[in-house]
Formats: sequence, structure tokens, C-alpha cells
Amino acid sequence: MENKIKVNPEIINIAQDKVREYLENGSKGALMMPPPLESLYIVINEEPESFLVEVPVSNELEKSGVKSIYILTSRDIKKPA
Amino acid sequence: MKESLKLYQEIEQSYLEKIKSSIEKIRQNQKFLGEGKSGRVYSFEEESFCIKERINNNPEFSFNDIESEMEIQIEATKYGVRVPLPILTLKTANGKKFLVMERIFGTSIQDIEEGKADFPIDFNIEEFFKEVKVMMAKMHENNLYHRDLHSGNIMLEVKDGKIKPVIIDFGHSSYSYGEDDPYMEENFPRIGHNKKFPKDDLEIKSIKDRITLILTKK
Repeated sequence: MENKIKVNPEIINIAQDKVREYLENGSKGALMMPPPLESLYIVINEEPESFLVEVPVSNELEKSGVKSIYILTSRDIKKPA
Repeated sequence: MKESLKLYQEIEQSYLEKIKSSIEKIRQNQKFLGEGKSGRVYSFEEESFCIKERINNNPEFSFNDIESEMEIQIEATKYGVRVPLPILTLKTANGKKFLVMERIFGTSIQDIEEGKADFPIDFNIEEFFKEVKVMMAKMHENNLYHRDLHSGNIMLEVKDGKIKPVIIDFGHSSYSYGEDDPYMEENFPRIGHNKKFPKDDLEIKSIKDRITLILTKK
């Protein structure tokens, strides 16, 4: 038996929408998932060491320069040394 | 194709290690949110998500596959039922099953019954149970039955000053169509086994009666 993961498609949609909004507004700072998952973070164009969900990059986002999207928990974020 | 398959498997290992280590850490600290018939729920400190590890505390009855449980929660949300937003399911190679989902910051009716928590300020029993009934009616209209609606599976969530019910644990839930009895345990077709799940509406009435009694004694 192999390990198997299934992600709620709604989570993928929420994250993609959030990245789209982020790119449109050009806002700075942490890119967070909206409530009720506000303690989860979205990183784009970075390869984190650990993460909760890998979000597929849509064609539209790819054209905007997005290469990768990951959803991280606060534990996945590297603390400054 | 091979590259994407490799990547997929690598991602799975990351998930597995992440979740395993997080659960172990919480276990070591003896911190978990609660335990029901179908699972043990662990929190991640103050994070907005939690992990349910599938266990079977009710061997007389079968449980939904963890993926089916997530799908039922997704469907219930579409019907207008407030449930924890599921994030993902994980089945490990050694047979463990996890559901990662939104953490509900609230208390259960059972906690109040057992004196572990108090009623929120401005708790209105009529309004609260009316909402529970409406949510159950929406599920039933869509042929979905909870089938384990005890007081531990109804939570109170205080948001924006309003007290709202949240329905949790869809481990026994099932769709039922036509003339089938939605409360019959259908997965143990052995002779003499005629187990039935408790009826959702009767459970709501029973819980409301007990809560009314507690409130009148206050």
C-alpha cells in the first residue's frame, strides 16, 4: 500500500484566488489564506523544505510570472537565525 | 509523466513526515482536542487547522473511508451546513488515515453537559436548536444523514458576536435514497445484525431537552 493524499479542490481555488488578488493589488507582506484558515501561509516562487499543500499553477497565473505555489503552516516557515 | 509521478511521490513523503512529526509532538505534550467514535483530533497549538486520526471506538458499526468523510463534509457545506472546512486526507503506507481540516475554536454541547465548559453569554437555546434543525433538514433534503448526532458532535462557535452551531464528525454519515432506511447499518449484512444508527431528529430533541433542564436549574 502506498501513501495517498487527496486535497479538497476548494482549498486549491481559494489559494489561487488569493494569489491572483495579491498580484492585482501588488500588496506586500505575508500572503495568508483567508479565514477560517488564516494561520496558513501561501508562498509563491519559492521551494519550501516542508509544506501542507502544493497548489497547481493555472495558465493565467503562469503568464503573470508565477512558477510555484505552496501552502505552509507557521512551522514550515523558516525562523530568522 | 515519469517526472510528475516522481514529484507526486516526493510530495507525499513530505506530507507524511510533516504530519507524523506534528502528531508525535502533540502526543508527547499530551495535547489533543478530543476523541470521538471515529477519530482522535489533534490541534497544532493555536493554528487554525487540526488533524483527525481515524480510529474505531465503535466496532459494532462501520465507518466511512476517510476520503468519503472529506467528500461528505465538502457536500454538506454546499447544502449550507456549517462544518469544519476540510483541507486534505492522508492515507499512509502503514494503514494510518488522517483528515486535516479547519479547527473550530469553540466548545461542544457535551462539554457543557459535563460541566467542562459554560454556556456562552447570550446563548439562546431556541435560536440555536432551530439552526441545528435547519441544517439537518438541508442535509436530509439532499438525502444525507449524519447518523451520529450526539452532543459531542454539535459545537458552539462564537463569531462576530453570534453563537452558531457547527456540525462535526461525519464518520458514520451516509446518503440514503428511496425507501431505504437511512439509519440502518448497511455494511454488516450478517444474519441477526439489525443495528441502527440513532435518528438525527430524535437526537436533536433529546439534546435540546437535556440542555433545557440544565438551563432551568441555573
